[in-house]
Amino acid sequence: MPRVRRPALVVTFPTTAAAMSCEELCGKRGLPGRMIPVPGEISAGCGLAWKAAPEDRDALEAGLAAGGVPVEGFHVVEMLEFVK
Amino acid sequence: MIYLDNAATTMRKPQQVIDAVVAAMGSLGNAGRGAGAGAMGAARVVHECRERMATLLGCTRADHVAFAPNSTAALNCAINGLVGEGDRVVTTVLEHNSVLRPLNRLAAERGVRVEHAGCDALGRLDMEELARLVAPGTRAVVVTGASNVTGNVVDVAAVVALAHAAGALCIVDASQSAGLLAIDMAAQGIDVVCFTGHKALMGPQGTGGLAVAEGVDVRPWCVGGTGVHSFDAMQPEGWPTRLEAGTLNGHGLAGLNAGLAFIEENGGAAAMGAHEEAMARRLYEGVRDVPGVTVYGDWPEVAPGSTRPGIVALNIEGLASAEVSDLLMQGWGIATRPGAHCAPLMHKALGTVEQGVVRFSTSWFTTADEIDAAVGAVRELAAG
Repeated sequence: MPRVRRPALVVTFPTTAAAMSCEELCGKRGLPGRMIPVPGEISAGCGLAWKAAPEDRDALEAGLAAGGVPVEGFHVVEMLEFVK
Repeated sequence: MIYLDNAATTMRKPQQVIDAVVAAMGSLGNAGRGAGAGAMGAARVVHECRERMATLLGCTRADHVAFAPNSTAALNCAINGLVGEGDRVVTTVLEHNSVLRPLNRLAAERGVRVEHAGCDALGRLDMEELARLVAPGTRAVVVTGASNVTGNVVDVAAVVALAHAAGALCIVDASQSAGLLAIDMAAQGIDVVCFTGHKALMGPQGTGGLAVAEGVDVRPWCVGGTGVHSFDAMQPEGWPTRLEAGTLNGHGLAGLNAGLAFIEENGGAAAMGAHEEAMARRLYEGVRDVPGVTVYGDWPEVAPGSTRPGIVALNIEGLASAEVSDLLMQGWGIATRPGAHCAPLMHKALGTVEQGVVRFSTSWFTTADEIDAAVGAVRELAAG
């Protein structure tokens, strides 16, 4: 399966509960992205993160703030993706 | 989905476990709270589960098996119930945070001195260092039965011998070994075994407990309602009530009881462990020589019976473990666990703090076809 490395927006959270609130809110408001394991270059260890396109940052930042979802940080990292 | 994250929890449960939980949800009262039919139904299920657990672990007293929500709660109960102000405890770098954090807190708040025995490059416990650390005056040795990162097994009997020679107790975290490896508290001399119900024991999440050897005085960690001695100001001393404050998870324990019965019906822990190990070894053999793939842990030659739980921990050169795990799920529908697995000292010892590790873990229900698909996926990812 062909893959390409491209920049991705990764949103991190202080808790799993916050990550799940993000998924719920994004689903309800049609905000883009999906859950991934938190990339090691952002945080050693474990946990969930929200992955979207870098250009989605403003919409996600505003949506999560409006929804009261605690966010740890917004990061742009190079990530492998399957080419569809 | 190909589910290879069974060291986190066995997702696929025997149908009899599901049936038992559903039946319990519609019929059980509260164990030990009255003698009505519902309460007695719950009490009987809990009693049966307790006896099955005692048999599985070689615990001579079934009433010394106390149930808890999980291994972490059981370990907190055992550690806080046995270790006091200023004590000295020896543990290892193989441990999960369910051992490390209770000990870290005791060190910070109660002056407990905690020492950690290291490991070699394969992640094998350094028994010589452990022997040096377990000196007279040590209160307890807390050790895992098998690493949740590498799957390496600890020679528990040897650890017990060291502990007892120094006058220390031995507490075993059997989260990754109960139901797979031979555990015989009586024969091995183990003082406390902490277990979880939702992994190899095939029960629901929210079940676990500790089995305590007779004569080991675990001070109650959590106190409260017990259904007996209601006018006593303090927690009753009798076993297992002393360690079981509050309503038990009767519905979950009905499932755990059915899971234990399933294990018995399928040849016991030896048979379950042998299958898990065979599947893991098939994966190991399929990826060990793939360029760019590093497999962690000790993989001794096959011995009769089960020698390690079904865990294969690996990395692919140039890829973060989280990325590999995500690609496995997105591309092949394979569920694994990346990252640190709540075992920070193990990862420091392996040099995998930044990259983490991708952990594949098998169960009784894992098939050779699933393993072959995982091998193919790893090979393709490693090929770039």
